[in-house]
Amino acid sequence: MKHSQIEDQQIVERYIRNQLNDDQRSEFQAHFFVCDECFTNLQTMERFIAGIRDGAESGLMSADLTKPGLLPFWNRWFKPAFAITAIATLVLTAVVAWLMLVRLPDLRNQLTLERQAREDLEITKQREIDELNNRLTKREVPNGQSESGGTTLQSKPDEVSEVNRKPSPELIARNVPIVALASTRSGEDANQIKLSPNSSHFACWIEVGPGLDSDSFQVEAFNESGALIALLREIKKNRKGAVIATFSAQKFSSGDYRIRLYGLPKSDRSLIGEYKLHVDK
Amino acid sequence: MQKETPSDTTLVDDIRRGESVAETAIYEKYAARVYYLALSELRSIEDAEDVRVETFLRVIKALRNGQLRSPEALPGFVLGTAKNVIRERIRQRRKEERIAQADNEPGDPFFIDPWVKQAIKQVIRRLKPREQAFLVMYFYQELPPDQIAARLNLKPERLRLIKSRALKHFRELYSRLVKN
Repeated sequence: MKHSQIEDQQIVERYIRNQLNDDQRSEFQAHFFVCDECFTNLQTMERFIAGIRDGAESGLMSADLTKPGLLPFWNRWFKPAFAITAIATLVLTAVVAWLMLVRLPDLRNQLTLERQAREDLEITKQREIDELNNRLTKREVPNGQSESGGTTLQSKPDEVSEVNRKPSPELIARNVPIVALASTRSGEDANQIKLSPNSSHFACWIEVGPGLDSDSFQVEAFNESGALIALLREIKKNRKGAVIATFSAQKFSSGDYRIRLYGLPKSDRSLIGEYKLHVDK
Repeated sequence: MQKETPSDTTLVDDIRRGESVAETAIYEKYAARVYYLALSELRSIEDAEDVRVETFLRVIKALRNGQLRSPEALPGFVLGTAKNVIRERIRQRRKEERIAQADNEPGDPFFIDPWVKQAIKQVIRRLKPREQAFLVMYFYQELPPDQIAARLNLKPERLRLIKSRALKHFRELYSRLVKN
């Protein structure tokens, strides 16, 4: 009989509890007669079992749970079930508290900031539109009369007169389509603007920068055949250094146009830039 | 320092030559085992002591007469002799109708000494009620482990762990108490 066999099969304990057959019993007896370790283990186990039996008999050990059905239902399922529920409740409470005390105020602050930013943006846009409208109002002149007198329209005087008319109420409305004109090289796509059928006017935003020695500007619009279809004069730069030219949308059908910007110094006008514009209606 | 025990061959040869020191040595080497065997079988301290004495009388007589051919068979020879003596004692006790009474004794008072009681007390103190209940049901009521596991709502491997841990603790405490 080997030690591993004795340990794995709990031979020592089974020997003491008379659970071995006669052959196993004799075999183990022969073994512990030559093996000091197993004999020591045997004696220890014998004393341990005797001690437990003595303790049970003398009432030293708790025997409350040894009778069938006496294990409290608390131990069987209620305790674990209650523990799981309690933990789930705690977690839920923590999550709700975090939402109420931390997350919700954060979201409120975020919302307030976004609302503030949107209002600021709207105010800025409104100011620009007001500025644009003021400028158009100031430019109100009699029909067909040139303000500068230096430029004479060669064709379509009726279209020029359109420029000098008082801005229509639609122009004063907020949603005037606007396109930022940028210089384009040959082969590059033109600046584009899409006009809805309801658009009565549209505006062209042309950056001129601070370096120019011009008091005011003149903007001319030509169609594909090179005919002048609109002329704007005496336009001042806005605070951002841009010229805003507002045209009547009725004069523009879908197609390509050229927009020319002239500086108007006191002596004579000079060409500052020419821009391609594609109108899509 | 622990005295080195001579080999069985030496002991057998020395006894054959009539050296009494060898007889003492052979007694010291196997007496505890014979006594344990007799006590566990007969459950009587007096009978176990009688068996021990009778066994060694027979073993030494046989060795002196050269009846043991191979000295390596000495442990088996001692065991066989002890078993024979125990069997004779059982037969004798049956005649005296004492064996039934001994079998009805619930405890194992023969292996209980003050150190065992003290060590067990300390072991029990460390155990939870459910662990204590398991040991009682297993060693005292001798219920099968699966029944105990079901009743106490414990896994069988958990029962084995409780048992081995309690035994280890007991072994440490007991050896410490005996040494002191």
